[in-house]
Amino acid sequence: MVSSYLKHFFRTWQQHFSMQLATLVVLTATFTVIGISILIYQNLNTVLTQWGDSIRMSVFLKEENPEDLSLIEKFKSFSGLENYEYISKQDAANLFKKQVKNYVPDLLFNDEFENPLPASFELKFNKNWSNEKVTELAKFAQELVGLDNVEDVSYGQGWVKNYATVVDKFNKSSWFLVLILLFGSLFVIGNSIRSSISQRRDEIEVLELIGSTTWSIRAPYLFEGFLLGIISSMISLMVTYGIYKWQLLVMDSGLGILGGKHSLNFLTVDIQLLIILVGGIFGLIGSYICVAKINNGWAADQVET
Amino acid sequence: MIEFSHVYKTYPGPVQALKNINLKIEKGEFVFLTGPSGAGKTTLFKVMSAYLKPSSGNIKVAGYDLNKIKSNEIPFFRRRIGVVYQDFKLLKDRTVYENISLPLEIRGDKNSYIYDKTNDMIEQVGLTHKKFMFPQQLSGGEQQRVAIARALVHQPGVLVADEPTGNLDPELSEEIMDLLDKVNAQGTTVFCATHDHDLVKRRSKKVLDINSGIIVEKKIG
Repeated sequence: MVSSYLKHFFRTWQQHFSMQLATLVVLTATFTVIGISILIYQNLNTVLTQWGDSIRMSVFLKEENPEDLSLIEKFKSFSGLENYEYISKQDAANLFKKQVKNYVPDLLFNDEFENPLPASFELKFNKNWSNEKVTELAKFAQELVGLDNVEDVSYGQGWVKNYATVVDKFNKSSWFLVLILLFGSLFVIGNSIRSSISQRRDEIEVLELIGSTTWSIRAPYLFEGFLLGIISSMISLMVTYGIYKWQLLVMDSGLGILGGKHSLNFLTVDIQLLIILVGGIFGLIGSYICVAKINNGWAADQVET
Repeated sequence: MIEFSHVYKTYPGPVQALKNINLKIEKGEFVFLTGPSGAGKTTLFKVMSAYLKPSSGNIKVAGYDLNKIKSNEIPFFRRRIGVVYQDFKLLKDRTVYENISLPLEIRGDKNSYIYDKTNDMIEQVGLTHKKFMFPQQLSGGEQQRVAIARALVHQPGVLVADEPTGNLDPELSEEIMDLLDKVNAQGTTVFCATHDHDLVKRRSKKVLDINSGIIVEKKIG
């Protein structure tokens, strides 16, 4: 059965090569844009995860108290916390002096240095960061600020929030784009199948007249759409991979902005399989929309395809 | 085998293509349907092969009551009959072998059976040496023989031939008629439309004459 469907598929290619090629090119382009969108989405989140590793939160205290139990309990209640460290006023001053020793060398030995720095807790978090986690962190910081002994909280809010917003907006817009492209692919495949059906109207009529069931007439066209979707999504993955490799080369030559090639990963195997599957399913749906119009029996001669 | 009772078919317009058709063809009979172009022959065959629905009346063919038949039963009904068309209706991109084996493939027969049966049929119509050729590479008579072989390969009880010699010269027409005779001799009911009265006269068969949608004459040749 599959071999006869394959014969049908190759026959269509032989007879309508330019139309089939055009369809394949458009579908490949569509799935490539989808693949690249997912690639960017995946890597933006990877970057967020990697940068999340360097996120530290400083909880500045009003009074020195390394054993502030209510505060420590609050830290522990945050699911992403890895560890925390108390930094006294003196430790903070020493650290500050070390950091600025190249600019103000005398400061290290200045006994009159009046320490303005508050005591603090330094919080370190787990590596698995997501956009939702960033929102949780912001909420956690706000709760800490509201506590009695907390003067202020700092965790690089600016860039974390901005980056998370960028990721969030990209996610939303790329999903919208992907949906539009997928629906577009339905029409592209549908038009190809419609054209194929229209050009094979005589053949369909003959098949009807010698006793083909409606489904046995429809099946090769469904298979054709399915295969078109599968093939174009597979080619699109190759194109996407080519673009990915090219991007790595560009980054290697110093034009990258995301921190070198090692921070970029290609689509995971799961995602690649998903893209191929979606290609096949949309191919099937696109062709089904057209073949559903093929009737048999009394209605056969009244159908326009 | 074939029974029409008060059958009418009206096309939009309205154009009455068939008017009160009553006929009965028994199993194993060979019947000619004659009449000029536009008389209603093709409409009658289309109605008979469940391609068109009659406006009214009862039709029974090969054990199926076409008034009660459901849409999903029609393909199975068509597998019980064989239809030959004036314009052959062959698939141009398939070889003689592939065209003839089509009804068996549709029926889902085993490959070995399809192979044997198709080759047997090709031999019967005398096209063994051309079985891998495409329809365009064949003469009109050869194409019609392919169409007949395709209509017979699944051993239908009824063979309906709509002007099977319409596009052929007299010599080829005789050849095709001889083939239909042979099929009929093997027990298949043959119902053949033609407007070639000379051809009908040369054969001693039952003849139905249709004109303006009415069967006006019944005579035994």
